[in-house]
Amino acid sequence: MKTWLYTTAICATTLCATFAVSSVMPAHATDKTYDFAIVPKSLNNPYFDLSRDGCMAEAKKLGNVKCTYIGPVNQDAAAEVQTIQDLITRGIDGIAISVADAGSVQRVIAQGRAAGIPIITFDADAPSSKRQAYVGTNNLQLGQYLGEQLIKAHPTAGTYAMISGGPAAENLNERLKGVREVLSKAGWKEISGSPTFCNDDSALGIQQMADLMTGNPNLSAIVAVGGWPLFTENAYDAFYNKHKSAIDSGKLTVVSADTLPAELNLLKRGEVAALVGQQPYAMGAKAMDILLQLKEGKTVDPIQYVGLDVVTKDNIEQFMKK
Amino acid sequence: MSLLDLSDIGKSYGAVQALSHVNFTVAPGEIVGLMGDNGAGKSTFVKIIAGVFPPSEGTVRFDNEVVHFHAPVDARNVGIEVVHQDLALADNLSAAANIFLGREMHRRIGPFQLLDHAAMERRSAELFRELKSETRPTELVRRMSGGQRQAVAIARTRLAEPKLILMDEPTAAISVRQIAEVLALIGRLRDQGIAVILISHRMPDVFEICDRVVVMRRGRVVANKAIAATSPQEVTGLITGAVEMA
Amino acid sequence: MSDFANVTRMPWHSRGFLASQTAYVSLALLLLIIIISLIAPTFLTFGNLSNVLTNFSYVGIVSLGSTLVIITAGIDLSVGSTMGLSAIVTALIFQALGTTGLAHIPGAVMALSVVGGMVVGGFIGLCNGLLIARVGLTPFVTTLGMLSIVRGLCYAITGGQGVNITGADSDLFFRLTDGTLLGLPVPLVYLILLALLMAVMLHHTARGRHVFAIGGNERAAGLTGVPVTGIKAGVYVVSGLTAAFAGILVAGWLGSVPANLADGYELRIIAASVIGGANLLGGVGGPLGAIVGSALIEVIRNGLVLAHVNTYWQGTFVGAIIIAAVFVDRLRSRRLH
Repeated sequence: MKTWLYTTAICATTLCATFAVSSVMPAHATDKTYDFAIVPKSLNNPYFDLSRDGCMAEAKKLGNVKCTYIGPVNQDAAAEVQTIQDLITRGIDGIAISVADAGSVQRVIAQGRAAGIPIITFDADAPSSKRQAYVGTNNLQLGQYLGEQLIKAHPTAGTYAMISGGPAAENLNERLKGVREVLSKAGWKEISGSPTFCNDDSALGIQQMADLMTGNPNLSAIVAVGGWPLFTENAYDAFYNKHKSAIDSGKLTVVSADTLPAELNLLKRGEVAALVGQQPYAMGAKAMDILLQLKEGKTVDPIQYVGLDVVTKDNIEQFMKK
Repeated sequence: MSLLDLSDIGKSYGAVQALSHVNFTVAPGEIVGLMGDNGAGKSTFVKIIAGVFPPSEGTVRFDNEVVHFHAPVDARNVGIEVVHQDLALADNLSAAANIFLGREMHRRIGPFQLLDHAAMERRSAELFRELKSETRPTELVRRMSGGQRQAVAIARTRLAEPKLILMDEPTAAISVRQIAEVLALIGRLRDQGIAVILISHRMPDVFEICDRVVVMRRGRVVANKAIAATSPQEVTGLITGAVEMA
Repeated sequence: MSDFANVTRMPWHSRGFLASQTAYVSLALLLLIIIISLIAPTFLTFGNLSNVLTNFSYVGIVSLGSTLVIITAGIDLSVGSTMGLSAIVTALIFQALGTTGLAHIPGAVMALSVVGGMVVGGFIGLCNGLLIARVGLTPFVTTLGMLSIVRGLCYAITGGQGVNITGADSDLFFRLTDGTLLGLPVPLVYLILLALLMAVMLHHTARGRHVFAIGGNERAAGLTGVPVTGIKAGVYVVSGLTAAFAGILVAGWLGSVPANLADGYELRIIAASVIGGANLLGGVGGPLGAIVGSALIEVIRNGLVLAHVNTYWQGTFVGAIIIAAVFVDRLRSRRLH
C-alpha cells in the first residue's frame, strides 16, 4: 500500500512543481489578443536573447500581441520541428522561426500554412519553403562590411582564415561569400582549412582560433562570421594574451560579426579590431509587426532586412550608449 | 568394466600444474566420493569431466570410447550431468525454465517453433515429485530456499537419463533435514544404475553413502580405496598430508 | 508435515506483473495523462495525440532493441548515431538512384534505399556485437567508441550538409513512413507490431529465454549449452536494426536528413528502457516497459509545452522520473526481503 502512495506522491509533487514554475496561463483571449511564437535555433545561444527582448518589447508596444519565446535547448532540427508542430496544435496565432535546417522544416511549415497560420522566418531563412516573409540581416552585406573593416584595420594584404558555425547555414554561407568577394579583390589569400565550423559552440570556436594560429603562425587575420569565439570574454582574453604583441602591432587582426556585450568589452580593450553587428533585437520586434500584418490580412514584403552596426574604436562609446 | 576411465590425466595453467598423473575410474551404479583440501585440484577435475575444458595430457574414456569434449554440451550428450557447486541457475527465471535451459520443449504453430510451457511445467512438477521436493515449477529461483534450488539443479540432471552424475558439494549449503534427503536421493540414483561422483568435504556424508573414496592432494591422487577398507581418520590424514599415501 | 506449512502466496498486487516496475510506471503514466488533460485540454485533441503518438514511436522502436541489449546486462550507447547514419545513407541512396533507370520501376528506389539504411544499422550492430561477445570488450566502452565513430561518419559523409529526400518514390516513402493507417500514425503501427514480435520472441521462444538467462547468469547459461556468444552478438545487431528503422522513419517525417539527426538521443532511449523497467544489471525487461518508458518521456515533454512551461525544465523532469522510477522499485523489493 505504501508504495502506491509513494508513486502517487511523486507524481503529484512533480506536477505541482510544474504548476509552480509555469508561466501564467494565457488569459482567455479576447478576439483581438494574438499569441505569436518566436522560435530560435537554440535557447542556449545568447544572440537570441536579444530577439526575445525585442519581441517582448514590441508585443507590449502593440498591445494586442503576446510574444511566446520557445525552442529547443540545443540546436536540433528534429526538436525544432517538434516544437513547431506542438505550437500548431496549441492553436498559436503566428510563428517566426530561425531555421536550424532548411530541408527539415519545409513540411511542418507547409502544415502550418495549410492550417491557416501565418509563418515567417527570421535570422536564418528557409527560402524554398512556404514561409511568407523573411526578416533578417543582409548577410552578403555583413560579409562585405567585415572584409572592408579588415582592410581598414590591416591595409597590407596577407593571409586570412574564417570561422563559421555550420556548413548548412545559408545565412553564414552568404557572409563567407561577402568576405571573400571583398578580400580577394584586395589581394588577400584564404588559407586551406578555412573556414572552420564550430557548430555555434563558443568553446569550440575559441579552440579553433587557437588551432589556426598554431597551424599558421604567420596568419595575418582571422574573420569570425559569427561572434561565437568572442562570446566568452575570459577565453578570448587568453587567446589575446598569447598573441598580444602580434595583435597590438597590427601584424594579426581579428574582426568578428555580432555586437554582444562581451564582444564590445573586448573591442574597447583593443583585443579585436572591428565588429559588424546584426540587430537581433530589431528582428524580434519586426517579426511581431509582420505577423500582425499577416494576421490582419495585409500583404508584406517577402524579404525585409534590418540594419547592420559597424563598431570600431572610433564609435564604440556612442554605440554602447544606445 | 568401467563407465568413466581417466588415464594419466594432467592439466597445467602456465606455471601451475593443477593435475598430474591422475588415474580414476567409475563403474556403472557406483558412488565414488572425491575428497581433498582447497587447491587439491578437485574443481579442475570436475571441469574436465564436465567438458568445460580439455586436459593437457592423458585420455578420457566414457563407455569404453575415447571422448574429447569441446563444450559442456558434449559431455551432456554422452550422458554426463553435472550439479555445480554454485548450482549454475539463472535467478531471474522460473524453476521449469532453469531445468529446461538449453533443452527447451517446443510445439509447432504453423512454421514456428514456440515454447511448450505447459509440457515443461508438467515434466518439472513430475521431477520434483520424484525428488520429493515441494517446489513450484513456475516460481522464480530468486525466491527459493537453498534446498529448493538444490532440487532444481538436481532435477535438471534427470532430464536426459544420464549415466553419470557429478555432484560438487551438494550438501554444503542446505538444511540438516535436506541433507538426509539428498543422500537418500543419491542412493536411489545408484539403485537405478546411475554412477555418481560425489565431491564433498563432509566426512559423515561420504562415509554414509559412498562405495569408494578417492583423495587428492596438490593435483595428485593419493588414495583410492573402498569405504569399508578405510576410516575417517585415515582419510583426514591423507587430505592434510599427515598420511602420505594409501 | 509439508515443507511449506508456513508459506503462503503473496497477495495479488505484490506478485507477478503487478509487482513489477513496469506496472508502477504504467500507473504513473495514466495519472500523468489524466492530470495533463485537465491542465491543458488541447492535449486530448486528435492533432496533438497524433503528434505525441508519432514522436514517441521513434524512441519507442529503438527502446525495444535497447531493452533487449539491457536484458543481457549490456548497453548500447551508439543507437543515436546509428539512427543518424542509417537515415543519411537512405537519403543518399535515394538521391543517387533517383537519376538512374531504376526510377522507372515503382518502389525500386525506395526499397533499395531503405535496405541500404537497414544494412548500415545491422552492420554497426554486428561490429558492436562481435567486439563485445567474441573479443570480450565491455559494452559501455565499445558502444561509446562506436557512438563517436558513427557520428563522425555522419558529418564526414555529408560535409555537414543536410540531405534532401526528393524525386522518384519520395511520395511513396513519405506515405509509408509518415502517413496513417486506420487513423493511427504509421510509426505507431510499426511500434506495436515490433513490440508484439518482441514479446512473442522473448516469452515464447527458446532464444528469448536464453537472452534472459544470459542476463541472469551468463556462466550458467554457457554451462547449459546456451549459445552465449551468438546471442550476445545478436542482440546488438537487433539494436542496430531498430535504430536504423527508427532513423529512416524520422527521415520520412522531416523530409530531409540533417547531419546531426538524433544527436544525443541515446540517453533518451536508454532512459526510456530503464524507466520502463529494464534493469541495467541484466535479466529483467520487456517490450511493454520500453513502450511505457518512451510514452512517459514524450507525454512529459508535450505536457510541459502545452502547459506553457519553460523548455529547460524538460530535462530536469525526465531525470527526476528516471530516479523516481528505480527508487520506487527499490522500495518495493526491499519490502520483500
